[in-house]
Parts: sequence; structure tokens; C-alpha cells
Amino acid sequence: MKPAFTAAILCLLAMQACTDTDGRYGDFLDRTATLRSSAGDDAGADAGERLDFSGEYLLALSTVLAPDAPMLFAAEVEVNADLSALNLRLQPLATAQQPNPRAPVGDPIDVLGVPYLPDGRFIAALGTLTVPGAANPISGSDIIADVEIHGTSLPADGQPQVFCGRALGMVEVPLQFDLAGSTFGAVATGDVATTAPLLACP
Amino acid sequence: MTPTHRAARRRHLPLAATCLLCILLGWAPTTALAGGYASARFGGARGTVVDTTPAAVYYNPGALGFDDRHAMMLDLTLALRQASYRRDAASVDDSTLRSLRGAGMEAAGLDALTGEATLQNLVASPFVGASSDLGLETPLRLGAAFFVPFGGQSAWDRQAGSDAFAGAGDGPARWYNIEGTIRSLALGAAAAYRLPAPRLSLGLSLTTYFSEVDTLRARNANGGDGLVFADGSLAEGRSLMQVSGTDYGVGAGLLWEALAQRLWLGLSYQSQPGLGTMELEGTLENTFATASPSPAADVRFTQQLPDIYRLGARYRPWRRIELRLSGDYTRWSHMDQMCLAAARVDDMGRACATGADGSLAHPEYNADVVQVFQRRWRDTFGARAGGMYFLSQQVELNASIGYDSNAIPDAQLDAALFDMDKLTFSAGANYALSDALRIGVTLTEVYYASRDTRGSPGNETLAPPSRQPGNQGVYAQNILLLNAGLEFRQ
Repeated sequence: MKPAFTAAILCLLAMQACTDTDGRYGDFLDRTATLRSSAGDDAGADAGERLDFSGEYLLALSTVLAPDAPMLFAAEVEVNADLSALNLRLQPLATAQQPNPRAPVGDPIDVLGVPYLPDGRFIAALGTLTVPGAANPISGSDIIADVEIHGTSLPADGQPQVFCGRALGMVEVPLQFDLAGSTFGAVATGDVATTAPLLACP
Repeated sequence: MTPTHRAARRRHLPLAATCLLCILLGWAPTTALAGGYASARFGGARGTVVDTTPAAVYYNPGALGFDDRHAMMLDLTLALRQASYRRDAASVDDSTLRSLRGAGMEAAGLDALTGEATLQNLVASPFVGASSDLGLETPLRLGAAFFVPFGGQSAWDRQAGSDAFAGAGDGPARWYNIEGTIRSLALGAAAAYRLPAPRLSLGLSLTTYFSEVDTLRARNANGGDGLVFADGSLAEGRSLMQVSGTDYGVGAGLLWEALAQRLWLGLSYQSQPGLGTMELEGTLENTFATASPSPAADVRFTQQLPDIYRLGARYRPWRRIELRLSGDYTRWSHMDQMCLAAARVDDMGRACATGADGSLAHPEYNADVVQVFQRRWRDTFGARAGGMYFLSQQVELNASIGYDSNAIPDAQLDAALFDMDKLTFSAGANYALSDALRIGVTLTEVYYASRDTRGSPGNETLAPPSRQPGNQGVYAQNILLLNAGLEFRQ
């Protein structure tokens, strides 16, 4: 029996006056409708061309839930010889609140054979992730989420290599919310412990 | 979700229509008339452990045995409740202040997080009960009743909104309660057996509790009270929890006529509803920051209500005067915490166990437990002393004074559930329209001592999943009750 129906029966039985929590919740959603993110169509970079951006990166995932508290990963990218596909490994890193900040925590996430398009874009379906709470800068709880990243590799032009884009999908645990509007940025580095994170495409 | 969220939320139109009918009929429970949120005041001056009216189904099933007629009782308590909560800047999270400074909105943000929240609710609580020997003329007597022993509802007043902060219009109490209901309705059945020689009646009761928690509050994923992020984007969110459940409890009691026609002594016990931890099931909906509103997730919610001991006496030294003294000891210490977790959790007790700092004792449940509401309440006691004066066979005047202690420590006092030490002052009258019909009216002022918890550590010092925004502040409340009852006896 659904809670709303149960409440209705209780109201009938008891002739109890009922508060209007649904209505007041709806009022808030109406007031904030224009403030909510779109699908983040403008969060990606302009299309470019494929390049071999194999290497090690610090990847920062900035969620709509807390854009200034990104999840950090040590990322390894391996682009195949003909630039048609890439392999991606993401290792969650401990938050600044942990005893060893930016130390690896939990199991790495491997995505193999991601198609790498001629314009430099790729879409990597990370599948259902389980990330330890030690890597969660928002609530410290373990995370279970279905995530897909839509990325673009950017030419280095004398700067550290970068790839970036938006993250889509749904977080199921500890809180259920849509990732739409979330972004990520990855900066090439030899030392993830000291590199400043990039939260989105520049 | 489309911009017309109001229309989308009205999928509960049948419920809204039902509730409109309910409001017109004017029935709803009151709040915190005894310790904690025990709200039993039905029966007026005759709602005690030593009275033999059908209200005894709850107060003392043993007392039913002393009635010798068929009886039906209709009782209504109207309550005018006024409450306020004042929150100061010291209760605002440091991280919230940093974000507001980063966005250049500190002054306006503090206005949206502090100030005084108020509520004024006029609600009613019904009681319907009956008792009879079914015409069998045996020492056995049965009773049944519907009543509201726990809980109530509250709707904090809306305030002037803020263009910059969309949530501000729901007031500074919103981090704990915007609008909601925490309530248990009860259907009780009782049986009493009278022993003529010792002038003693013993009774047992079985009660079915229908419990409901339906609350809306402001909430952020990190347990803080942030309004915006440093870039000015929306941070404040909302959580809507709607859960319900059915539980059972038992009661026992006795009434002893220690001195014939002069002195009666009563003693009763009501068990905890659910005989321990109650598990309610339902849904949780969240909207956090700029993320899309989440679909309703199945959840479980646990709570522990108290068991209650009652003791009382009524003494009639002269024909026209009756003196009364009664008390209760309510074990609110059972209310250690409330816990909200995913419905997939099999062992809520293990999942929700926490350490002193509020973190989970078993971290493997980190992904399952949504929020732990630390309560750590204390046992309460109440006492009431009064008297009745019988002007004639038809007219009775009554008056009493009472005291009920506070259940909630400073650290856990919040705008969702608050309690204080309280004094009650009652006066009323009963009039027998005939041998079969009596009406009664009682007016009670419940005076609550205000509480100032500013400067005390609160829920902001706890670790997740127990962490909540700072709950310090100045709490005040007053309730005026009007109880009216009809009793038919044949």
C-alpha cells in the first residue's frame, strides 16, 4: 500500500486534518525551476581532432550537487596506435579530510575500447561504479552510480595536456540524483598529489 | 520535470480532497501536552488512571470494571498552539559563510538563515470509546476506543521570500521542519474483571497503532545549511519523507477501592507501541542543489516510542468534594534515535547503530543509511493534583494544576520536535442532562518554559550520517486547550 494511500485511509479513519507537504514541496520546485541545470550541453569543448593523449592525469569530477567539492581520480589514458579507440583507467583518490589525501582508495575502474571519434570526442560508459566513502568529498558515504562521461581531448599548445567534458547518469547511493549538469576536467601530471584540479573545460 | 511542478504534485488530489474534508471537519491531534510528544488529554478532568469512563481503555483498562452500565463517550480536544524558534548567526555553518562570502552575499544570506520562525495551529483531537458488560451481568467488562496518544503536526508560517535565496520563504526553522506530521493513532480494546470482595478490578488491553511520519524539510547532501555555492549557484535543497506503519502494544492496570465509596487507587502500564523499535516504510524524495528532483526512493524509518507507568488516587472525604492526585512516568529514554535508510536494509538495528560521534558503528552500511536523527531523550514524569466540587447531583465543578517534565536534551532540541518543562492549569464543569447523558467542558492552559540553547553544541558537531545544521536557538511554545465531551450511560 503506497504511503499516500495509507495516509488517506488514516485521514478517513481518524478524520484527521493533514498537512500539505506535497504542495509545499511543489512550491519550492516551482520557485527554483529556472535555477536547475539544463542537460549541460554547453559544458563540453569545441570539436577538434584526434591526437595521442595517452598518459597520466588528475581527473576532477564536479557534480551539480557540490560543484566546488569535486571527486578526484588518478586517470590513465592509453590511445591505440591508429587513434580509433582508447582505454581509460580511473582510480578514486582520498579526499582532503582523509589521513592520506589523494591516496588511492578502492578498486580502479577500467573502461576498454572506448571509440575515439575523428573530431576528438569520446563517450565512455563507466557502468555501475562503486566508489568508497573515503573518496566522497560531499558526505563521506560510499557511492553507487551509473556514469557516462562525454569528453574531448584538447590540443596541448605548450600547456599540460587536458581532456574534459560533462558527466551524465544517475547516482543511486547514498542519494538518488541525476548527474546532468556535472562536469569533469583532467590535467596531465606526474604527481596527482600536487596538481591543481580542473573542474570543467576551459 | 516540467515547470508546472505544482500540477505534477497534485497527483495526490484525492488525498488533498480528503484532507480538505478532514480540515473542514476539524480533526487533528495536538502536540506535546505531556512529556515528549505524548498528546493524550482526552476525557478532560475524567481522563486519568482512576476514572472509569471509556477513556480507561487507554489510561487504565482495570478501571473499566468499576462501571456497571453500558457507556459511550465522545470527546474532542481543541488546541490553539503557538510556537516560535529564533535562530542566530552563530548556528550557521562555517562552510556556508565561506560560500556566501565567495558569492558576495554574506549579509543577505544571513538574513535568509536566521531570524524568528513562528507557527499558529488550531487543531482538534478526537476520542471515541465505549464500554459494556454486554448485558451478561458478569464481572467481565469490555471496552474499545479510538484515540491519539502520540504526536501531532506543525506548519511553520511562510515568510517574506528572497529573490536571491529561493528557500528563504520557508523560514529559519526549515532545516528541521517546514511542514509535517509525526503521529500515532490508536484503536484499543480492553477487558476488565472485577473482584467484588476485595473491591478490585484488573484489566488488560491490546492497542493497534497506526503511525505516520510525513515531513518536508530543507536539506543538503552534506548535512549543512548552504544556500549557494561560491559561484552563486543554488545549493539549498529539499527532502520529503512519507512513511507509515502499523504496530501493536499491550496494557494492564488495576483499580482498587481501598475505602468503600471514599478512596480509589489506580495503577496502569502501557507498553511501547511495537514493543520496542517501530519500523515504518514509505518513500523519500530529494531535490539537491541544481540537480533534477530525484524519483521517490523506497525507505525504512525507525523510531522508539515510550512505555508509560501511571499511578493515581481519588479521595472523597465528603459527599460534595473529591480530591485527585495522579502521575505518570514516561520512558522517553527509549527514544535514542530515529533512522532513515534504504528499504533494502535487512537489519535496521545493526545498520543504524552509531558511536558517540554519530558515525555508523558498522561502516559497511554507509551506502544504505540516509540519515540518523540523534534523539537521546530522557524519561519524563508528570503529576496532576486537583479536585471536584459537586454543586448538586447534576453539576460538578473541577480544577487542577499539573507539571510535566522535559524529555529533550539541549543538544537535540530542534524545530521538528521540541519539548519543555510545562505547567498546566485546568478548570471545567460537568453537567448531567439526565441520568443517561452527561456533558463536560474543561479549559486548560499549558504553559511551557522557553528554552535557550544558544552556545550549546548541537547536531552540527556530529559526524555523518548524524550531522545536521546547527539547531541552537530560542524555543518558545504555548497551548490553550478546550476539551468537550459527551458521555452516554445506560
